[in-house]
Amino acid sequence: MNRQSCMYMLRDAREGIQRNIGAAAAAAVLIFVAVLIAGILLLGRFGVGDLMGYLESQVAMKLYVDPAADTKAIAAILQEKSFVQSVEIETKAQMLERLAGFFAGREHLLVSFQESQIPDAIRLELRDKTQIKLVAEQLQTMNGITKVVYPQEFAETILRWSAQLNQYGLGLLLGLGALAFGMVFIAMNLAMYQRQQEIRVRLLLGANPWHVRGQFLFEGWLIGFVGSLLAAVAIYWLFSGMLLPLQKQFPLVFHFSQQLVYEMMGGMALAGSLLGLSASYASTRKLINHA
Amino acid sequence: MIRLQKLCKSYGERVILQDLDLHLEAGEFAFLQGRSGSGKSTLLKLLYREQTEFAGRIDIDAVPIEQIRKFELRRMMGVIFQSFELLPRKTVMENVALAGEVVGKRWGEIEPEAQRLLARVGLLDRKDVFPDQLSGGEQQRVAIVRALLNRPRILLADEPTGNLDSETAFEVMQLLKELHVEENMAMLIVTHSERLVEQFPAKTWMMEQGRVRVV
Repeated sequence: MNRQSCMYMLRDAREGIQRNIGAAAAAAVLIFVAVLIAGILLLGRFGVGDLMGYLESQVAMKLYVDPAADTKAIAAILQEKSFVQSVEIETKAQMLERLAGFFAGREHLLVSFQESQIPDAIRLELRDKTQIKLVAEQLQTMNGITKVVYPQEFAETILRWSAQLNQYGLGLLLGLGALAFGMVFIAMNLAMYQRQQEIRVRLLLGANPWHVRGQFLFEGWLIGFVGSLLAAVAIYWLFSGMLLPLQKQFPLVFHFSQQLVYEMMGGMALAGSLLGLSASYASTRKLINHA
Repeated sequence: MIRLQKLCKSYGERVILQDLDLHLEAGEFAFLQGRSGSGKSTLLKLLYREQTEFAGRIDIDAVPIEQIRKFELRRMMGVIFQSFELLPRKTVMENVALAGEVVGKRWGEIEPEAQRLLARVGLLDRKDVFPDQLSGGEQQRVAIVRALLNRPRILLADEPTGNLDSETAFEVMQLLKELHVEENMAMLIVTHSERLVEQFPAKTWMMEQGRVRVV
């Protein structure tokens, strides 16, 4: 195919899509939504990955002490343990003082904390982060300890939520992907129906059937590309508007890679293009068989 | 150029063409005459391969037609239809240019040839109008120009005057005869009109009940 044929193809694609703008736009919107969801899931995965990494790198845990027990005695016992790096007691008064900073301007909310039975807590830092779960389980059974809170436990909860979200997201993505495929298929069938006289005339004038089919493949690709390109732009907007500020605020937690986001955007555009192309390929099979 | 040998075609039990033997030389002009349903259009469809199943032989330049790729065969031929088959959303010039576009010609090649041919048939000043703004005779002249744009070696016309009044039909046929000489191509004109055949004496095959005889 020479340059001139490409120019004719571009012109015909513009005219064809204009004639069939409703179906083409609906197909592009569906591809946009499907690819956008895929992008959001991926971005979420990166964020969760960073958060997990951060949480799992933590070596501290918090032990809540039974009000009837002697906090100082328990702290002394713990200090003797070989796996403990440091021990720090946090009393109700110290905790309220810390919370006061958080509730500045909303002091009325702090009252309920002041009136409640907040137990003393011991902040424990371990030497080895890989042992934190094992140590937490052991300390949970120690006399005088009511509860053990450690970041890895939180990480596991996040991981569980994230897996569930990914599962539903993937289901939604597959459903929308199939819907988008069907919509491009219908749009292309409609386009072929509207242009059946033109197709016949082109073939009778000696057009290569693959060139005639190529016109519709190109239009399907274009619909997919436009939808997915818009989704990629939306993802970049989300990244720069939400995730980058988050990274600035928590530089130790999040490490989003700009390069990775660009690659992801490219992947999204490619996926949308392939979706459009494959749907129009499927819808034009008859055309090539009957040419 | 075109040679048919023992050509048979049937739809189920119904025999359309039976043991047809014909030969159209390069540059020759011929009529294929017959009543409606006599198999004339079917024969033409077999020649430009809109229908592909038949028994017997069809050779184009001594090559069996099945061995020539459909689009390559059609590039050797120009085809004109009774219903003109002009695209309503394209102007006269765009309709004509389509023939060049589908074979990948540059606009610089297409435009002068299209203008020359449109001027030849007296429609150059109407090149920017749409088909529905033209009379039947004018539409058929546009279809003729489109069929000739790529300078085919054979022109097949399926009832080209079938939708026209007798005066316009005469003009269109006269134009085809003139173009046959000017463009030096073979022409096979399918018609049911005895009057036209009488007005333009040429080699004529008469089709009756699937068989053909030279008149």
